[in-house]
Amino acid sequence: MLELEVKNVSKNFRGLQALKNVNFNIEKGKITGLIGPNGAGKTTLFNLISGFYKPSKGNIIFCGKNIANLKPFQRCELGIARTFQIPKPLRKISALDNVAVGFLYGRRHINNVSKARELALKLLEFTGLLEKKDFLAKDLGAEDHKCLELSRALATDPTLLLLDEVMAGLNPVETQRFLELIQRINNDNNITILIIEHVMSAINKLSDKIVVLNYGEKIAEDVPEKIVNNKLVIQVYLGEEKQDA
Amino acid sequence: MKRIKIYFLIIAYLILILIPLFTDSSYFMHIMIITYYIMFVSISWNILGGFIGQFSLGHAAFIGIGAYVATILLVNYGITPWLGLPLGGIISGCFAVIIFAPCFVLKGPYFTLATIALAATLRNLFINWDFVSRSIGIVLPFTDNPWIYMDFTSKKPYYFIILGLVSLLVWFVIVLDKSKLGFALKTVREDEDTAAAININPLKYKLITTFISAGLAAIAGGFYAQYIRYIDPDMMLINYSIESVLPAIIGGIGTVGGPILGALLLHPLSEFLRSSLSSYNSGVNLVVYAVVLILIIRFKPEGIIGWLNVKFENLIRKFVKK
Amino acid sequence: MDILPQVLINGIFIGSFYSLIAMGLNIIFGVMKVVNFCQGELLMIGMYASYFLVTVLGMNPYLTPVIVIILMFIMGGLIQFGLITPILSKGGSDYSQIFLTVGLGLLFQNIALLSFSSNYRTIQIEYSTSFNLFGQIISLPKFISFIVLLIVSYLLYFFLSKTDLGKKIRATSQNPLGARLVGINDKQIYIITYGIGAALAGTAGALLLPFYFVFPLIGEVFQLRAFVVVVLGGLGSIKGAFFGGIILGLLETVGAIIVGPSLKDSIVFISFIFILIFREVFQSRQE
Repeated sequence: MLELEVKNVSKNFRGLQALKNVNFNIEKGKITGLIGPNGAGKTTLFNLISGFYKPSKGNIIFCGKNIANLKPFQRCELGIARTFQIPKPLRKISALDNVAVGFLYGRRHINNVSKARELALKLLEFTGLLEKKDFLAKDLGAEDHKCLELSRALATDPTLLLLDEVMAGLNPVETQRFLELIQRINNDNNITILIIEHVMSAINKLSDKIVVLNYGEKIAEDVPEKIVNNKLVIQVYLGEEKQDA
Repeated sequence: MKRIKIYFLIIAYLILILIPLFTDSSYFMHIMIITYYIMFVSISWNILGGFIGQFSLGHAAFIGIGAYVATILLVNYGITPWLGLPLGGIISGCFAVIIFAPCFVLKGPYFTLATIALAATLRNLFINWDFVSRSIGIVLPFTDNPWIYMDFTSKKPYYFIILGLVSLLVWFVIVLDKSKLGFALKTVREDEDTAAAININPLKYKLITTFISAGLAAIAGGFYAQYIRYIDPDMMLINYSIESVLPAIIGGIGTVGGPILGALLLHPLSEFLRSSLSSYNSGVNLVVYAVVLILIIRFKPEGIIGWLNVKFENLIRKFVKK
Repeated sequence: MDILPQVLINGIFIGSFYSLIAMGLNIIFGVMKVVNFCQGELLMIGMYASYFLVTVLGMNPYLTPVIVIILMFIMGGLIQFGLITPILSKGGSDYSQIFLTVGLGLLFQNIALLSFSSNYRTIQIEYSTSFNLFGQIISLPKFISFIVLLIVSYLLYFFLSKTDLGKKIRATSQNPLGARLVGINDKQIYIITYGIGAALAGTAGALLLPFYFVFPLIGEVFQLRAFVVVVLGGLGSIKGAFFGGIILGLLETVGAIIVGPSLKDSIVFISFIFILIFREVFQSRQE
């Protein structure tokens, strides 16, 4: 069974067509990249999949179930977790507790606060934020916010993880760290990942396949090697990047 | 350090319990009773306003409902306030949930303004409603059975009742703060979208919190009625809503100790000012009070409990070093 | 039903006052996202100022707004500069500002109570004549106030849309950070904006003086109504405040006829809440 099916999805906002007839599928356990110029509709698509918007047309099927009418928290219960492009940490709460909430209310429904904190400790170790566990989220830097966002999403025990530009603004060392982290998440737990990214080198290495959006329409869907050489993709998005790569 | 703070708080609490044994001053008792009452309402408000971040300026309506329910049950049906108070709480909680539910689609200040309008509406309706005696209000009679009907002639029983209620509430809030539910409330407060993304239904928790907050405020209102022995729709004026919120703002919104500290500071201060300054000119005390408020908010908008905490710790350290 | 035109006229008249106060509230909220809880008290101050200008200096009551505008503008600017701006970026919640203005309102009210006692004061106007318009009797002083109100509203509109400063104010309200990035001094704008808001409230007070008595708590009478207008018209929308005020005035006077004067408040508030909610739901449906 396919993990996610996006079928003929369109979305307009009072006349602005953000997405038009987008179609693609994602198999369980695979990493799929989602790329395209700014304004192409990538985050809108995430919002549709995670339930923050409803499609104007079309359907979104998750593990065979049509989720179009489910609210975001209901989709989390089913196994969809997401990060936000601009991270939204719980500012006045410690990093540890930011993640602990995920365990308490995510799919594991842990009821004991201490147990949730224990699990959060282990998860922070995995994602590399352990030393900063007692810092208030508002006192952490931007990369740590992204990592915290990711950790919190993981804590809810998802089967499908939507990552929205988690590597934006990172230096090459951090980018590499995140890349390995994402690979481990995918390998160790068989979590399906859909990732929006502008860092092409990273997305090429991570993805089993890449979907390309432009002005709300899907213009290509293929393995990374073919995408990089796709004329239309190069024209609308990759452009100069191919020369550097 | 933490242990020292706990000892300090325990001693302070014991003092509060023992005071009535050492004084017969009715005036002093009265000030403390009202202080505890305001503290109770403020803590209740803080659960909705501080913990989950929904800022209501209409809480006086819930206080009023509690007062009226307890009073009418007593006066019309002879039901003891010991039952009347919790009943008032439940009725108020249900009422609050029903009328706030649609209002939760409103964001930020819009929500607050709606709560103001709701309280004003309720007061207006009560003024026009015969069953509750319109604007004349209701006087609570005295009976021969003070322990059943909560109509004591001395202030001391009232002192202990409200102190007991506040103590229970504080314990409840401490537990809530550290509990799983507390996490949900704070998450919704910080960011509703994040809450939704991690499987927390913001509306559900806002409603739960509303029920608790309004219900508790009503219990306080019921007590107030038994103590003052007269109620009227003016109890629901916005001034009283503001009065219940100020201690939380001054003390530290969203903290457990903020409203406690705020109430202990504000009400005795206003009484002190009134008694010492009104000999000069009636009203000066309110001016001074307003100035104090403005200064505290201007210089410590996050509330004074954090700052006091730091000062306290420094003081202890200096003491220990000796 | 022949009282209907008179009722409508009264509604429009009182509504225009609500509009003026609401516009002041709106401009402050629009730019600084602060709900100014002492707007009513600023009206009261303007009214007292006008009162003393008339009784002590013998000024013509219709000229006092000129002085009042300037006085209130300065006062507002000082308040913003000294008290509100400094806490805008500090800790606490967004509601700290609300409470600061609540405190200010309390302060002004009590200073007034102290200085003027709670007596009602009023002034005499020489020309209490009325004239005939479309078969309705309209009192001249009320009419003059109304016209002045319209002029002030228009001036405000003109100022905001056509002048440079007005554009800067609008820019800051739409995007404070963006405004700073293009060189607008946002702190200055805040001061000016609050000054304008205060001036509008004070002007409403000054214009109210010929027909209403002034007393320290008069602010409260108008403030809640002004909030209702502001929210009805849309927080931050000047045009909305203008029309919303008129509509509220009409709602009130017509409502008073229908359900009686004591229940009209409930009608107003309940309609207000319904409109709020419908508008919010309507807006999110649009997404």
